[in-house]
Amino acid sequence: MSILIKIAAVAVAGTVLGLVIKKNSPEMALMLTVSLALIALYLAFDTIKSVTDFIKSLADAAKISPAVLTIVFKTIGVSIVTKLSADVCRDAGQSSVASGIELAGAFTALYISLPLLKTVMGMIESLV
Amino acid sequence: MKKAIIIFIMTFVLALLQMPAACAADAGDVQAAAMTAEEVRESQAEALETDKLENALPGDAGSLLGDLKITDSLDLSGGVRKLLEGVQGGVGDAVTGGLKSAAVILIIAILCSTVNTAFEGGAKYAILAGVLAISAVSVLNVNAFIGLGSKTLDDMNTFSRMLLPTLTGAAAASGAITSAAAKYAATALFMDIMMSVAKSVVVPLIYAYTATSVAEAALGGEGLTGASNLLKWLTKTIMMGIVLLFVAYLSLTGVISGTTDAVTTKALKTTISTVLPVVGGIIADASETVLAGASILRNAIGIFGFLAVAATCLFPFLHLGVNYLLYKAAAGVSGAIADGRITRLVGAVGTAFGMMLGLVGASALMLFISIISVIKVAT
Repeated sequence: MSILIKIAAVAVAGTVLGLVIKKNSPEMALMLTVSLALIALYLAFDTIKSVTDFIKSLADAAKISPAVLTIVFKTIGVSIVTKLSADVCRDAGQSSVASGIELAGAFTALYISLPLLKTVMGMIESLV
Repeated sequence: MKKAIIIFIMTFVLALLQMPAACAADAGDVQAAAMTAEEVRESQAEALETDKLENALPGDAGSLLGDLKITDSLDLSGGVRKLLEGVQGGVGDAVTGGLKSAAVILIIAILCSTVNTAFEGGAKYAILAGVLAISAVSVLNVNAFIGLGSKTLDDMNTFSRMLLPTLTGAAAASGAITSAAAKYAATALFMDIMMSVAKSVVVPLIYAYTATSVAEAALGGEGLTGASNLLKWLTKTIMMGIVLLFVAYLSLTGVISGTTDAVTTKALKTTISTVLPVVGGIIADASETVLAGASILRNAIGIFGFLAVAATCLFPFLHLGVNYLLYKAAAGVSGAIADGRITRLVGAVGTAFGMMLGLVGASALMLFISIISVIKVAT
């Protein structure tokens, strides 16, 4: 809860500051926005790590291969990075760049999921 | 002249034989009569080779029932208590194992859906990864537990090949010659059909259903939804059809041949008593003892078989049942939070467990009905 309050406080203060700066220096405002997003992620890092550790320990107990979860975590990470960076580009009015990032993110997520896809396809083949 | 001498000698011998029996009956020596019945039962058990049946118990059933003998199993409540005591330890393991898998699946579903919702549907590849991860985990479980179900079917089939002839022999010895044979034929035929259909049709259909459900969750599409629904319907219809046919066939043969047996046995006793005026009654009484002994033995084998079949399918039933319930519960919970594709996938895996549970249950039910119908033969 305290982490969320910190994140919210930093984000709101940073956004207000960004609005003030944006009139005179839009580049600095953009840099501030990116910094705020990174700070928010950094502050939430411990929470995210606790959640992933818990899921990994549960998967260990259920004897589920860690490779399966790693792929899910990586894909979620790719989705987060893709979305944030694309939104930053859109905020800066660069929609085409944002679309390019989203496309690259989609292919990266697919590439990461490929081993899992192959495994599942193999399983389906063995079932049928 | 020779014939007259032979008839005279035979009559004399029969009269001599009749005297001690008549004396015993007159003296009311109940203990001696009981011992005779016990001896009759023992010799019948030897003739039917019930010890082979005891040794034919499948591994899990053997460890659950311990060194249960056919004579012990007359105490049904004791046998059931033994089963319940044996299964108590397994319940915790089954629930814990299933719960862990279900929890991991649920957390993956929630995690992927949370990210997707936070980004207003912008993280659909996270959902795809989630679907694939859940597929990998659940298909492994489905494979393992369907394998367990198939092994249970094999065990039940092998045990039924020992149980049913022995039970039929005992039932025939107790006077139900026609109905026991008819019921054995029906059970053996339908068990064979059930096992063949289960192995070559139903289990592949369950696998195919799981595969199409996974493909549907990963790729989407109405065609795959239709295919998986069709496979589910087909599996359920085939299983229901076989069980209904079996029950109908068994009822029909039971009614006809049971009446035939009752009439035949009664007619035989009356004929013996009437045709042989002096010794006829004694022979009829002796046949009564033999029939009663065989009836007791038939019931004992039936109860033993009942307990053995229950012990064989108890653990697989427990594991499949727990997984079925947990996956259905996980699908219900994820329905409130997770993406529809993930919910449908988890639900479909639960349904696959349910279908295997139904298959094992239907086979066990067929054996139970056979055992009960042979025990309850009208004589």
